Amino acid sequence: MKQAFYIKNILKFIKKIVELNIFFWYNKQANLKIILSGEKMVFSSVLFLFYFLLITVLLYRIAPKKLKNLVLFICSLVFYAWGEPVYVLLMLFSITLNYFSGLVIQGLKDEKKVQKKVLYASCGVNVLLLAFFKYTPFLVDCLNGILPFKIPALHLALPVGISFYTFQAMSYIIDVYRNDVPAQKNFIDFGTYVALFPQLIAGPIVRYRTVARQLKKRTESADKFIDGFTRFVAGLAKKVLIANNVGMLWDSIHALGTSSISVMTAWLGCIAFTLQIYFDFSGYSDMAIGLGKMFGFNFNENFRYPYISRSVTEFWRRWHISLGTWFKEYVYIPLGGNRVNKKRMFFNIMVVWILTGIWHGAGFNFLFWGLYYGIILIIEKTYVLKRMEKAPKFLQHIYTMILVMFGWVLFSSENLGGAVKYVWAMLGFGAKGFCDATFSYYFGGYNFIIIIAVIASLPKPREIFMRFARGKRYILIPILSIIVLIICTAYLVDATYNPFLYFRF
Amino acid sequence: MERKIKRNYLILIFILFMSVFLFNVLHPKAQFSENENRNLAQFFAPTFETVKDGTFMENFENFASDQFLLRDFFISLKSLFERLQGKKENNGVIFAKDDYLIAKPEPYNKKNIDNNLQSIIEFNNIGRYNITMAIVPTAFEVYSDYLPNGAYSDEVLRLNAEIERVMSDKNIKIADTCNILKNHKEEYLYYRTDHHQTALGSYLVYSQLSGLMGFTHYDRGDFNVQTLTEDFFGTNWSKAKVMGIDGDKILAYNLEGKHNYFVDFPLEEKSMDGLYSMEQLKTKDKYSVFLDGNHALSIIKSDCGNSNRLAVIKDSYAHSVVPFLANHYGEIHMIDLRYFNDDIVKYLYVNGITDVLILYNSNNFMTDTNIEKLGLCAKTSDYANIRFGLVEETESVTNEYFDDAVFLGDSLTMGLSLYSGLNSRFYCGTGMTIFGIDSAPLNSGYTIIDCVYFAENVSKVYMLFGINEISGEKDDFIKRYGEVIDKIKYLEPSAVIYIQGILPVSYKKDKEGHITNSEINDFNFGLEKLAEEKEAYFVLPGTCLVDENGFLREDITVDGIHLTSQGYGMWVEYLKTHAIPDGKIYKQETDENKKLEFKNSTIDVKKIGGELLGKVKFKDSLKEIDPRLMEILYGINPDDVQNAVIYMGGGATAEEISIFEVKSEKEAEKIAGMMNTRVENKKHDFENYIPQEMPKLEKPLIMKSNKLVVLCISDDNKTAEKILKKYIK
Repeated sequence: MKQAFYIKNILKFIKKIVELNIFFWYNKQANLKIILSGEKMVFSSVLFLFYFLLITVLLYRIAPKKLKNLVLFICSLVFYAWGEPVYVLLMLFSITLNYFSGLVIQGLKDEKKVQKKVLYASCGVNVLLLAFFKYTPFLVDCLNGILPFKIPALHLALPVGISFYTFQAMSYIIDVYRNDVPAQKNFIDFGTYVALFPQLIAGPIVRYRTVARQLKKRTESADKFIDGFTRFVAGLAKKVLIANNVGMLWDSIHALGTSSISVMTAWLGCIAFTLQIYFDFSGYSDMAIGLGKMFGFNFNENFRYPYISRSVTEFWRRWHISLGTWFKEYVYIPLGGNRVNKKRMFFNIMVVWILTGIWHGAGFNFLFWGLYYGIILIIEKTYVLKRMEKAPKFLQHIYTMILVMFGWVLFSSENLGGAVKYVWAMLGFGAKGFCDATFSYYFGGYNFIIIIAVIASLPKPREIFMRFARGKRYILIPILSIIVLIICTAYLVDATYNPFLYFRF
Repeated sequence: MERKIKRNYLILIFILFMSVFLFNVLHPKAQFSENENRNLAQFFAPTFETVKDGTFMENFENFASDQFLLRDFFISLKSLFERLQGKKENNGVIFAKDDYLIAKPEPYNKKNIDNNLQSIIEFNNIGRYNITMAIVPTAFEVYSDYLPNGAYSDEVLRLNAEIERVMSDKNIKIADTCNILKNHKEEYLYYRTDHHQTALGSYLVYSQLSGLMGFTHYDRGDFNVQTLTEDFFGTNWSKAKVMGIDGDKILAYNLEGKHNYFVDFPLEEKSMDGLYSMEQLKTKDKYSVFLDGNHALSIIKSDCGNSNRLAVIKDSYAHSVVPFLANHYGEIHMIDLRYFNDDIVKYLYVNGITDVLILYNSNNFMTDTNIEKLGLCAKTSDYANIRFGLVEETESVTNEYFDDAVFLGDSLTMGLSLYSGLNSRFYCGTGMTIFGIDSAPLNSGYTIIDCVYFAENVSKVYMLFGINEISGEKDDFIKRYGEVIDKIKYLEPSAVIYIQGILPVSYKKDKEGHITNSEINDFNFGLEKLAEEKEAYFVLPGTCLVDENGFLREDITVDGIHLTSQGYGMWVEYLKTHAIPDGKIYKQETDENKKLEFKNSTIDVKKIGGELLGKVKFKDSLKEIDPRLMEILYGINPDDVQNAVIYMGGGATAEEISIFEVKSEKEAEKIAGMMNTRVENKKHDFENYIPQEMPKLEKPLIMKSNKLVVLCISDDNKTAEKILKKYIK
């Protein structure tokens, strides 16, 4: 009965969207005050590591070849449903919609016009879903600031991973439309592609064409499993040991407020956030890639030491590669790319970067952050890149890192004013002196982890280690990964160690 | 070789994960973590509902980490790594000088602070409280010298500045506890291993409060210092997980043999003698020795020589301050908003508390969101807006509203009794005055005050006097009216009193000059003031009965004073639209102690009564009334009967059942006689009141045996007789 009720509701919802008559529905939902938690299962938790992953791997191993994808699909749905069960229906809807869109688009090969219409329609629904769940609260907030009356706020949590799986699904139908890949006839295989839990929550955005063949046939071996597991542990360590730690430093400094920090403290905070976001994000990608390998998938790399870049253009070729590729493939090039006149090209760049900005979140800071990079990239393309070639390498590094770090300040601030104030403090305006005791206190506590983090974000140390470990890898890496796993477990268990002082009475 | 190692590695990973998994699933589950001072999550099986709303998942996640293998080992391991990195803090606790473990303050959260302050302001706006606020700084601020260089930040100072900014001129007293603590910072004001204050620190807070709250504090020398324990390892120690630090001393400051204390936890039906719960010294959280730790509600009583009542809205910092305050307040109601979910405004109202102390430590005040309950209650509580005096127009109530009302008055009220159609009780007489209310008998032979005394289930008392007193002195009238209200309040402490303004007279009557509307208005003005003063409501039914010039409309009056039936109807309508809704009236629980007890009873009279009520046809719905009334209604001494039950209607009918169990035939005879007298009296009452009821009274059913006497007044004697024959042979 209940399921029928939900399906009925979802169908109602689709109808409303198709009719573009959301307002009624909206008002009703707003009045209902449904508050969904939007919680999710994260890789870096005891629950995932020692329950979910273990059970999934066992089931996957036991399952006969034909059912392996089904096991993955169902486990992925459980993984997704863990935080917010209701939204599984949204994902199933998305899967179904795109599955049939793919088939229909392929079937209409000979009628290009109709085919195009179907493509636009299904892309439209995908974008609408994403926009609706991701941007409505933000838009309502903005509108309420301007309008003389108040639109009731919608109490919907962002469905976890919707930004990622919507983009994946769109890559599929567009690829089918472009005849790059045949449409997937097996619903379970397609569902597995969209819902695959390793990359479901935080990417990478796996384009369909990279895994199309793997969905049917992939090789699994003990070597690959060990590689994958090691990669996963490495990602876990990046997240738990480094990102969370420097994150605490950033939180502490951020909490001090911009009015009372010194120049050095401001820089320390900025460095902390710069490291945190890299290790957090790339750690997550590493875990996803590692998990993928454990199940026989090969995903593309998502980060390639972005902080060694010598220009912002290069930085974006190394940072969140799957997202950059997606925008390039499906937005920038269809708009004409750089094979158009300069004005049009600048326009294309700005469109891509505004979208990139707001893809990261519904907020003005993300919009400005996108604009910021759009402008820098245009300037680099027209003036800087050619001239910089002659400059000393270390200057190129410093130039890139400073711009990237200012970008992160913008990214992390709730509003533009706060970001400007913080950058101002970094530059010595309105700061409380150059260096103070607060800096030495925090630096004293965190210098070790910062040094480790900086080393780990460069490729050279890894090369040196690999050279040193040549021939002994097979013995060194297992030992190291188990030690790291134990330390990570200590941090994960401790993360829930909340001496709760007022709980019992 | 390589292959072999790889295979072994795989097997090792598998065994590792499997054993962790199996251990986690199979090992006996711990219930409580002493170190963290909380219950650990337990597994519960999923149901559709818990899966749907996510509670199952949330619980399972907590369970997975709370019941993890070697949990304490992993936590210590993490602490070790943190220290190896050279961090001067762990889990937000700073390792300070002299083995002090000091918790870092939460980030300054202006929004939450302002919410809390706003809540307190709204609470204060109710207007009946005398509020003192003490936001006590934590060790982080007071002992800032102990912190490692650079660890200090100024959240507490900013908080104090914000409180100062928002709360100035809000008529709330703010205690400056920060400076007095800092002046004594060389002393042992905070525990080294815990986030609380020592008794000495609390003494300083208490001495600072004395001036603001209006008592004289005792000197430090007046107290005897008692050591309760020497190995207290507090919350900061648990968080920081450092080894090699000595425990704290918990000291108690006692006034030598002066007062006795008693602490009651009414919500848990628990209590204790004295201020210290020595049991708690055996547990991890030894700070709970003070007043037994956190409770939603604790009432501390002391024989300090006054009955002043104080409410303390607090966090755990108050636990070591309140023992000092208990020397100055007979009753302290300590309320913890984190757990107290009742309507606090109602609670204070019902308990007659107006002195309120809000005591939090600065950290909790910055982060706690439960303080908003104060503002919420102030906005939503039915008790927040109890304003006496003139009643504004309200939504209309139904006739049932008046079922538990009594109307006291003169001939006008008699008229109302005839034409209102209400099931109220009317105690009134022609020519009745406020002066004769306790001396002039009504038809029933009782005075109005007697009737009020006898009346059961009275929630509202409507009074209308004045038209017969208008020629007298206004001041005497008002003074006497006030005395009468006091008397009624004494008799019916839970009833709401409505004073009805004197009705105006018509133009003709006014011009005759004996009774003028200007005199009436003058009297009414006095009555309105009186209502405010005596916490009664004031209504002016006259406003709906007058023409545009303020005279009683000629078309609804017979003689310029009394009304026609239409006029009485309008009066009732007015009362219905000027009534305080029932929910907003506080009803005091009936005093259980006063109830009669029938110890030697052998017959279940209520069963007989119930059978009669169920089968005999009654016009009215009869309700059981307090059997104590037998003395008044029948003149029967409760000691003379074994058991009794009386059912009566709302006053619109003469219907009645009374059943008495007696010891002997002789007693039965006597009581049957008294019943006859009762019926005669009732006939007298109803003759002029509701004559339609007379037939019932003409043939009352009175039956007796040597054990039982029954009176049943109804139209259905046949059924009643049939039933009673089973019991009376």
